[in-house]
Amino acid sequence: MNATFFILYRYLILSWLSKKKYRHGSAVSILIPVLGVAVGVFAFVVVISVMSGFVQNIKLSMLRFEPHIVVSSKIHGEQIPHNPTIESQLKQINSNIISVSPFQKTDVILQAGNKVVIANLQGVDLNQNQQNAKIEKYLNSGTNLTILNQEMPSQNIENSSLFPSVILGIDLMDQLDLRVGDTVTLVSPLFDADPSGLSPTQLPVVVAASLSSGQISFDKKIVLSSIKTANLFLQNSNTILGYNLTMKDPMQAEKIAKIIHLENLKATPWTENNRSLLKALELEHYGMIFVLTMIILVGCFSITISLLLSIRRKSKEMAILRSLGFKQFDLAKLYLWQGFIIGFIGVIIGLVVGFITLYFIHHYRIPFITSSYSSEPLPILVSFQDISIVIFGSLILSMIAAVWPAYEVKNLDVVEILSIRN
Amino acid sequence: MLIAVNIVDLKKTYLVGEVPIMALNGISFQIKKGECVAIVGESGSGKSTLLHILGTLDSPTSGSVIIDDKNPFSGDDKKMSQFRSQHVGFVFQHNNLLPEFSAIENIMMPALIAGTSAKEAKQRAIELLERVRLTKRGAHFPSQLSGGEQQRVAIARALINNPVLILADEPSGNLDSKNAAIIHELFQEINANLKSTILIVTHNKGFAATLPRQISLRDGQIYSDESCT
Repeated sequence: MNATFFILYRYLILSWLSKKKYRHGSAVSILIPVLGVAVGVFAFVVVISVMSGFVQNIKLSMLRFEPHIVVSSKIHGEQIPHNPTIESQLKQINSNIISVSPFQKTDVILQAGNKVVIANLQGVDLNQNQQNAKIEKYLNSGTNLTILNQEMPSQNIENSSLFPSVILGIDLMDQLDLRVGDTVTLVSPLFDADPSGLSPTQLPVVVAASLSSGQISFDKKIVLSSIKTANLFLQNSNTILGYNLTMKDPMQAEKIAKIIHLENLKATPWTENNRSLLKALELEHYGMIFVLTMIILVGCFSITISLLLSIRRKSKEMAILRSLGFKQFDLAKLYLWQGFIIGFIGVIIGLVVGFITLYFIHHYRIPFITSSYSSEPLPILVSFQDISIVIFGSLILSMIAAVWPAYEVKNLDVVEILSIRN
Repeated sequence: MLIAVNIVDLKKTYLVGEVPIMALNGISFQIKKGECVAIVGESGSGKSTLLHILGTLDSPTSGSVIIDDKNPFSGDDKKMSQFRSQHVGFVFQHNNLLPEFSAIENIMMPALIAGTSAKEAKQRAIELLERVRLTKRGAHFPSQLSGGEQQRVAIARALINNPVLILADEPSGNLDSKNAAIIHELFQEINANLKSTILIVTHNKGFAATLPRQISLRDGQIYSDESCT
């Protein structure tokens, strides 16, 4: 065994196994920096994984109703003909694209009695089962989107004729004081010229079902209809506003949107509409990594302090080693290795304790943590990239922390130490 | 007879603040291989400085030092350390054993530093423990050994790399007369059996008188150089 590793083995490992009276402080002096690094790594792993879990939840919540990519006219708001050829072309662009559904969309004023609310009318393709299943989860029990194909009589008008059906967000219904089966009038915010002058388009519809997604901003605005009903309101024939693309991995949306090139059409990934929020989340993520790295850095300072104290305590031993033929560089190497090993043990302990903690907070409800968030256990996302950063970052910082002690020990005045102590 | 140490006009000056202090002032002498020499003198006469220079722990201000036909100061720290490891063995007044290593591990250490395999180093260390009559104490830590035993371990450690030169700085200065006598005997035995060249700094006039040659230093210069045989 090489002398350096023999000494390290004795100082860092055997000192723990030997009887207490032979430890000579080595064991305890490495415990503090090991714990310093371990606490930093533990904090990093737990905080960054929970943060990533929250961010993932936010993204999933955004993507619940948001299309992953929207293909629409290059001219904002311009209607395009509904063309099945384009649909099949879009499907073939990338295997990540799992569905292409045409849609219609417009702002609308809802009038019920003397109450008026501005909302967002979305015409959905009722043939897209996979896509529609995402929405159907949030409809009131026993309802599915095919109900939008039906024309219904109004419950609040006696002997009413049949009206096209719509689904309203639950909060929108509350604002308008509506119940399922009631009639509501869709009023266009744009005015049309007719023989009696300028008047807005109006279309009475029946509320066929309610939608409750739990996302208030969505539930306060959404009016779902078939594309046919939306076109009837917009007085269009067979046009749509664009195509919604759903993907296996929505995180690839930006990449795939760049390879969609169709004449007069543009592809907009979901990230573009939420850019400022996503940028803020990304910035927060990097900010958090920076802050947590600082915690590890503070832990690494304890390596520096511990090793400097060790030089004071062991200066005689270091001088003896020099008298036995140990080179200056060997002494420096001994301390660099100590820094690295202390960091390594700290990283292992921090990772193990961190992952155990993550397991518990992900699988069990911990009242004082979860009560402020939700009744569910906290979301966790362990990122290989973040864990790699913490491992390599900690090891590099541990080595850097040992540079000063290594420099100090290298320049010990052997003669002076041996003369004073001898 | 072959020359182990050849010193010519050796000078060593220290700066204490701005004031130069001449610790060695033009010392010249030769030591033959296998010779056992006592270096005597008052405190501050330059004995320890001489020993540190011969052990390459310190470098001379001027003059020439040749050990085993080599100039140990011709290279950098790496070469000087290698030279020290292979050619010189130290025994200090306060044994200076490594407290966290057992007696046998202390003896093995210079061999491990010199690059010897652990197995071979251990084998040699066991032989040396026998030579210093501490066979059963190998696994003990320095704190479990008496002063005399610690010093015997230190002597065994100095011998493990078969150095050309053994330098001992008051090896019995800290021991009672009984243990001091054991250490003196041991040095003489090693000198006789292993033909090692030994330089012993001592204040013990009785012990110095038993050695074949005495070099007396005073104010950094050789005051006398007497062969007793």
